[in-house]
Amino acid sequence: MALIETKDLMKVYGLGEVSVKALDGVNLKVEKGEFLVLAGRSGSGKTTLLNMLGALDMPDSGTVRIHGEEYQQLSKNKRALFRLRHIGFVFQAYNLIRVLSARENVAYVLELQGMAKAERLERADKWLEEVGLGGFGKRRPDQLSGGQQQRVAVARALAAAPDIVLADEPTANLDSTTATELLDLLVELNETHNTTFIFASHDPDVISRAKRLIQMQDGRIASDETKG
Amino acid sequence: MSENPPPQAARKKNGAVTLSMVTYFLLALRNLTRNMRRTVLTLIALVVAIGSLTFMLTLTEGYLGSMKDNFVLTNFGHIQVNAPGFQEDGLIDNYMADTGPAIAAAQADPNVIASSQRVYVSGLANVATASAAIIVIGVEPEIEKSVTRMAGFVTDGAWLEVGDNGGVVLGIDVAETLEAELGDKVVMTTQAPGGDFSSQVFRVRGVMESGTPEIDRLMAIVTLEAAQAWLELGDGATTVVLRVDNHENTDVVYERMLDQLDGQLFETQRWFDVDPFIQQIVESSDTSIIFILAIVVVVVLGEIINTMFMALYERTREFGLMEALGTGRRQLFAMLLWETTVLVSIGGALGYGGAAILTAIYGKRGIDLTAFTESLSSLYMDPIIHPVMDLKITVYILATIAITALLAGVLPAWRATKLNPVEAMRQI
Repeated sequence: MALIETKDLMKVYGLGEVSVKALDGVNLKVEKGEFLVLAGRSGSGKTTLLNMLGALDMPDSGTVRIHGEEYQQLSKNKRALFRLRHIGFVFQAYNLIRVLSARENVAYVLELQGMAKAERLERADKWLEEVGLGGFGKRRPDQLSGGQQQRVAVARALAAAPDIVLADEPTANLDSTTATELLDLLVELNETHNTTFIFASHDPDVISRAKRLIQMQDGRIASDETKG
Repeated sequence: MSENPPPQAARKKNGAVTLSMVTYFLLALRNLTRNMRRTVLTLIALVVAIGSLTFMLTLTEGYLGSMKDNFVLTNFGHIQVNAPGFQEDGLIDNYMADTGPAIAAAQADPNVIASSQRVYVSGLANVATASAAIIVIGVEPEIEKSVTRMAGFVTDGAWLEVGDNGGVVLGIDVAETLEAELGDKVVMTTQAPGGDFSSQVFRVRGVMESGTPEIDRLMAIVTLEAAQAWLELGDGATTVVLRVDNHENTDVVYERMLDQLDGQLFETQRWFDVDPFIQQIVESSDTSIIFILAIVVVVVLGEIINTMFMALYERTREFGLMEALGTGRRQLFAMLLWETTVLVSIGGALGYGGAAILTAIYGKRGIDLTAFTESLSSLYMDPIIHPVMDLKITVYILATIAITALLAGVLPAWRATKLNPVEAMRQI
């Protein structure tokens, strides 16, 4: 059984009298440990698909199955729990809770999962160390660079032990050196922890690292290429 | 991922986990410091509102307490026992020939501090050149000191001595009308039981000024023995006056006196049965306090709801992020409610604390309203008001703070739970 399976996924947005098919019958299977990039121009549907895979948005029709579980029938609260159990996020920007330190940001989702304080702080420190931010735990987001903030977001996503990490344009706000460093880290984490990563990006650097590249166009999968 | 298993132990059966109170408190406190200027301005509004409300309540408690004390201790006592009909018509014919059962019942009551017998009769006081309408009160001079403050009102001369059956203490206005000075003779005439007029000569031993017009303009106080002999009452009296240990026990003692004197020819009344004016002021004051509380709650509510909605608007993106990360609706709701509660609690505590300090200072020093003495004394108010903090006020303020926090927090918190994470994270 695939880790993720979507079937005939449809999403239509109404823009005044015009309606736009953001997703138009997307069928997709993702296996554990993949490093997948959804590419395509703006409006191609990659972020909408990512939001569906992350249980952040609901399809108009079709199904999303993650670990054999469909979230469409769940209440808002249960979908939040579903995300908490299965999915880690790295967004483009404003990724962190501003009033919490790096360590507290990572520990936040662990507390939501019900982990005891000592254990969650220990795990937060471990993951900050893993992403190269050992010793930065007490810093607040405004005391960290953009790249460091994204690393904290990665640590937070992975510390919760999700099935999938979804990253929406994670390098868009970073300079090229920092972006490369972040990508190196994500590739390494994918390889060492076998974590499934799915990106939505049109950054050539991200696309070049993809082990599987899906090109989106007009809400459909235009091509699906697995690299050797 | 096997080296990093998802933590499950602390999760409830339905999968929901509640953030710890420490986390809520931490988030609330830190979020409140995000926009310090706005938080400080809201706190100032809260401190002023809760502080002035608290101080107004302590002030009200102070003057209402003094009004009750003054009314009860100036003359009336907490409870009076009379012969049936006396309180209504005031006729000396309705005197109690035997006050023994009423005195015994009063003395047996654990909440009665002291009790005394009196004779009340209306009459006329004459000197060679003037006359004045009076109410003669025959009192037990020493015992009366334990029941009311009358002895303390003497401003010229002295209070009556036990056995001084030829002396009288006049209200200051009576003395002025009669132009009577200490040692002067005053002829007092009244009706004895049966309707015969009877006159008696007394010498002025003292002049009293209570500040209460009905006492200063009408009272002529003689000893009980003198009144009994003059009016041929034997050991009888018109009234037994009881002083209770505190106002709150008046009803309890009243009920017990009714039980004790059941079936006997006595009429028992509480101070507010006889003169409901002060009690009405106390009750109307309770109503106006609730009205003012409601106004303060509404005003403060508007201020805090505005602040919390601003906070919600500014942090929409963050709430979206939190929801995306798996924060449930209840947790978001609790987060904003906590924030409101912390804000209102800090403002409320500072306001209450400030008012408590002012109350402690002015409770000792008093607030001087001597300029209004004339109008205040007719209401049995002291010209110097001492604010009093009590449990009732603390409960009122705690309830106000709790209600305000709850009402102000619920709406923004509810709105936060309605956010769609995708749309919320698009907000700039």
